[in-house]
Amino acid sequence: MNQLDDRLRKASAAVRAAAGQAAPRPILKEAKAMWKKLAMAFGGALIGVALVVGGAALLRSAPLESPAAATSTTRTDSFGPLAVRAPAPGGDTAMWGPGRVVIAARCVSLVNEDGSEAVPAWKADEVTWDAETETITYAHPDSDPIVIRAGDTIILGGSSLEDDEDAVPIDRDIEWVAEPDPSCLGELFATDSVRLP
Amino acid sequence: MSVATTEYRARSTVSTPRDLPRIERFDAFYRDEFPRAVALAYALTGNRAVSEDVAQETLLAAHRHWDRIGTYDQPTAWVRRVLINRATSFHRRRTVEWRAVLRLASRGANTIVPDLEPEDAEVWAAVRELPRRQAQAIALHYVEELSLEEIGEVLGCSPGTVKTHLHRARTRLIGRLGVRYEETT
Repeated sequence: MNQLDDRLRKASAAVRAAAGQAAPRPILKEAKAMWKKLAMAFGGALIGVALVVGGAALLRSAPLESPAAATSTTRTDSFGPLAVRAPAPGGDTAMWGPGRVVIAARCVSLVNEDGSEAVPAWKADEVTWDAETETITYAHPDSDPIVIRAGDTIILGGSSLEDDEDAVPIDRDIEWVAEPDPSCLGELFATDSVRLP
Repeated sequence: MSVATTEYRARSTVSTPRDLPRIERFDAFYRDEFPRAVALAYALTGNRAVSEDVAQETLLAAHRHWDRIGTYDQPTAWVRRVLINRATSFHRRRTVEWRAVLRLASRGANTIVPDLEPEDAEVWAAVRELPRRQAQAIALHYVEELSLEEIGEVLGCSPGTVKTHLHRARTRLIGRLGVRYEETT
């Protein structure tokens, strides 16, 4: 008999049961209700416009921005899955790696030998993304360009944007050109240099 | 991708009454996911108020990006990934906990998720002392009952790596909880 499995399964059932009693919060209900009202109001407005001005006016009417569009992220498609920040004076005070480059649909990260991960925050003027070949080209003014592919091993110079132990984000003004996707795992690392091991 | 999701993406910049199915679709997703997200967060944070806040914030993030996330084959995988990121982040836990304390103080002791029995709480306390990845793998395996492949998809690693995380986690838990475990192949 696996006592450990039994205890973990029992404890898991307990949290599931406890959470099953958690009621969805009203905040979202209110948000959805607002959406519905907006959508219905827009529909009503469309009907009104159609009645008064006619079908031609309807086609010329300005579209209403959706809540989803209004809250879209600042990701820039040209950088693909890269997290990219606006150029700023660097702080090449720490090193991360060597780490193996992992390129996923929405994230580029580095994994080192002990399994810890970093998400490089590249400078916009030093990095390009080629969607066709899925390669990153890092071009620092002081060195030759480096073409980086999935599986390559590289070393980053720069500074962590988190406390190593507790993943506490350091209070720093970062102007994102392509914000890291919320699903990216790993320590956010402001990258100021890249070298091969 | 279904025809319906393609249509949602194509109409992403104009809100009309026809958007209602998209809202209803998120509504169903939210209803299904909220208790599961709370359970997973509860295991990883050990705090019922925090777990609800983390679950809520994660699903609100999904709501904000639903035009994109709603088109994924498995939006749940995205939610789990974001959730465990947040749940295991000490900073967020502290921040969210502080807000939760303020909120609970303002409405009295009206907590929603009940406490666990001491022996179950002890298990999760031991899990939370594990390295981050091991704790996440254990919670996804036992609370969410995910396979090695599914956990690997959430954590962004291979099933073999997940197996290693689980093995190391169990080895540590055996010592901390004083129980037996016989690995099966």
